[in-house]
Amino acid sequence: MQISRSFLRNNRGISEIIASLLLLLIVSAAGAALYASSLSAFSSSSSTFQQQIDQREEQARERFQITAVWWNTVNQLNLTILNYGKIDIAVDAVYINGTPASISSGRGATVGTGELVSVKLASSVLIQDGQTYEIVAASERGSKNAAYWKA
Amino acid sequence: MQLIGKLNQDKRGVSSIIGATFLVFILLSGFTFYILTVNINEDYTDVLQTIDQLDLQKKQENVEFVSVSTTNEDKLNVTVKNAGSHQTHLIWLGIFDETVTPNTQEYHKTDVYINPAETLSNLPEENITILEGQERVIQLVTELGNTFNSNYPPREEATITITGKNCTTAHNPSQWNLLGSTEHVSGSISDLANDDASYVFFRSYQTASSDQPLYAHSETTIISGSPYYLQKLTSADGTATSMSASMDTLGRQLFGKFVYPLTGVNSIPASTWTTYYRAWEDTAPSITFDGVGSGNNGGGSTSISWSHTTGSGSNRIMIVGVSIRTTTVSVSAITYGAQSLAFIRADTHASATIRSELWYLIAPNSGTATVTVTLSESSKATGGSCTYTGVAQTSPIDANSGVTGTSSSPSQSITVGTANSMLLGHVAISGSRDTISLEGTGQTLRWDQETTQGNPDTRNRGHGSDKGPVGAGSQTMSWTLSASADWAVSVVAIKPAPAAVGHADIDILIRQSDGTIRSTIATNVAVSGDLTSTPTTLSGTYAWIAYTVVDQTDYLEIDYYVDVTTAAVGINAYLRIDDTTLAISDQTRITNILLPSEYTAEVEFTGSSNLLNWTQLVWQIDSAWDVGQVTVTIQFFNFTLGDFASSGNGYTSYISSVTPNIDELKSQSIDLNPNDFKNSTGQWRVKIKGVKATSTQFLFKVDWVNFETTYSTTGSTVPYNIWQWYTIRATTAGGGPIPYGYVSIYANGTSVAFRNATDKASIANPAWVRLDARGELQLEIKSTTGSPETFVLYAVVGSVVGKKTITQEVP
Repeated sequence: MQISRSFLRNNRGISEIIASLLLLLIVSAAGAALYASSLSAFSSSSSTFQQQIDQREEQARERFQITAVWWNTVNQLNLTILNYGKIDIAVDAVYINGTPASISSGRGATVGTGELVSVKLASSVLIQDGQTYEIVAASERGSKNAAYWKA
Repeated sequence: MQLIGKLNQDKRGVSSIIGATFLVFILLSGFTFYILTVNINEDYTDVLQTIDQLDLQKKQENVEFVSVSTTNEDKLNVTVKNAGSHQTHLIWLGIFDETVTPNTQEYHKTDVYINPAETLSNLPEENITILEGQERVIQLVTELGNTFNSNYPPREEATITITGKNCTTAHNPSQWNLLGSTEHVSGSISDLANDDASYVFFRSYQTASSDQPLYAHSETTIISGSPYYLQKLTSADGTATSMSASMDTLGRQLFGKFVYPLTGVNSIPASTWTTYYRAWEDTAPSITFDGVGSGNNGGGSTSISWSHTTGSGSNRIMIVGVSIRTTTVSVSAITYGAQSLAFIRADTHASATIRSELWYLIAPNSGTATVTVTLSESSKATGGSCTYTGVAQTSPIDANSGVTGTSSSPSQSITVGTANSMLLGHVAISGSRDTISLEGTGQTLRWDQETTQGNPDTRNRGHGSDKGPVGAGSQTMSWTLSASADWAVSVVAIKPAPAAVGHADIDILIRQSDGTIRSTIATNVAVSGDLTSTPTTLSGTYAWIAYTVVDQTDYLEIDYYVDVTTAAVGINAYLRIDDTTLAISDQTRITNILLPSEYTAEVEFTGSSNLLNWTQLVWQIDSAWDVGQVTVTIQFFNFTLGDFASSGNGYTSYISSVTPNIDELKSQSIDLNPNDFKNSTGQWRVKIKGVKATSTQFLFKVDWVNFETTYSTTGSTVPYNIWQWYTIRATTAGGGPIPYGYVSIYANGTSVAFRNATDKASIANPAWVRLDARGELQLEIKSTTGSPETFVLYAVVGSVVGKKTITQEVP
């Protein structure tokens, strides 16, 4: 009754209440939207960061070594690569004196920890007896291992 | 109500609540993200620390080989010691064989932990066999990724390594195949092994023919002791020669025999030959006075005789005239030496005061003899004889006539049937008072005789004159007497010897080199027209039938003849040959003979090499030709293409030197796909062809065929009988060279030879040799055992032994 009287006494009071309610609603909605957006952005950023860290972590755990190189025939080489890291690896490329070699077998094969893989390749660099060559093996994650081999 | 009132009283209160709420949410969210990020970083850091720890441990890991040996059962026995500061986990054991190509590697899984300072024996856990003398590299692989290598057998303080070097080996042909009709002349396959002017000769064969002339030349060749003139493809180039043949008798008379060697001629195809003869014959001689004799029987008798000398001219005749004062007396016979004359005619004066007779003798003997006239009765008589040459020997009397009369101008005509006849007139005059004061026109006094004793009126005169040669038709002989008298005139016309008639022709035959005739192909062919007394180029044709040469040492023989159809003594026929003054069209020759116009020599050489992977092929061929400017093609067989190379690698062509017999070395280096030029068994082939447009067969001289291949090798195998290069290197324990050290080298193969790879000087097996400044010996070895054999090459410096197991391949 008192409200009714108040309304009856002052017509402007009703308008202010409505206006205040509308304003409150708008501000709340905007704030909620802003918060949600920010939360999503943070979440995405966090996920990306997590992935980057995971990738680095995997790379950090990846260790492999060219344990042996042997001459098959002219310009045909075999590499034996040991995975001594803490994660599976896959050999993706081999470079001889900086020149990519053509891998005929062993590329992309998953090599478990403590396992060996034999990689056969054809050198695009002429292999000459007595010469020393830099042989670099690269994994799919981008890790590298270099060895110097004297033919 | 109170709330509404409150709201109504303070609007900021609601906003503050909302703002505070948001603030709380924001703070909570930020803290959550912070915690999350910290956790991620901590995890990552933990990983890095772990890996770093492993890397550190890896660096500190050290495994030393205490010993590498084999048991009595040839099982590998490795003893290792962990010299590092951490426990080591061995996970692989690798065994490498670097003495073979390709190298072999095998890894054996193991699971052995070695504590620091611990020594562990009897590795590996499984039995691995290594035979005595075998060389291996042993590798241990740890879990941390370290590898530790050792050699078996263990190396001493110094090492000697023997490694095969990229080798260049030369191969020469093992046989040749004659292509086409190429013939091997001399030389053996071994002559092709070196560029040493030791040749293998091949003879070319005819590959094309064309019509060519064969000229008759004056040069001769001897076949089985007999000379034969040569026929050549070239025109006259010598001293002109006139070959002669007598036309005395009928039939074919040989000018000469000409031969053309059939060397290099496979066949002579059919064609129509034309034979050209530069030929002629002697001009028929006219009747010529030879000699005269005369006599009388003085006061009379039954005979008359005188001496007469007859020359040696051909076609002789003797005419005798007899004057008889008694007309009842006649000539019974006349002889010249032992030869009897024949009667021609007699003319007796009607008053019976004088008689004239004419007799003749064909071919009176040369020399001096007595002419004897026998009279039927005794009478005064004179006689005279004339001999002539160039008179027909058959029916020499062309005509005769006679007349008697009484006047001072005896005269008689005669109808001559044969031109160039000679007239002999005999006038017999009764009494000797009157003389011949004048001869008739063209007449020549030959004799004038009178008898003697008694009244001159009882005597008589005989007078002989001749005239000629005269033309055919009526001819007259006359005389002028000093006074009128009874006379009797007898005239005879004697015919000249006929001109010879003949033509040229040929016989064609094949004569063997031993002088015997293989076959007579044609006789009396290519008949020309009749010869004349003027040198003329006559011709005749002959249809030659294709002939296949049986033996190229044979000769094509052309025998030139004159075929005399009318003989004439003393007449010769002539054939002119090799006369450079004559135009070619007038030279004696045969044209349109299909003789070789192109020759080809073609030989394929084959050889063996090796099955290694060549990096380069260099071929060299040194050869020559005994003629200049031969078009030469060299083609190696490309086994990938399945044909002889027609360009580029394995192919070359050139025109040989203008100068014959000049060695020309051709070579080519093939770096791209050199292996295309051998087959699966290492065989290679090369074809050499030489072609020249020539009528003369030529020779191909091959001095050297070299097929040099370069290949990469470890030296574990060597081809049979091929030098292979090895480097023997002595190094100290520190890896430095051992310069100028002496090394003992020895290979225990059945037949292994050594030589210095640099200067190719021979080295004994075994031998002591000095290393160079780099501690190296460049050694070539060659094994020539008849079957595959594996041997060991030893190199020893001090107590350090280097070994290389080498297998010689199948010969």
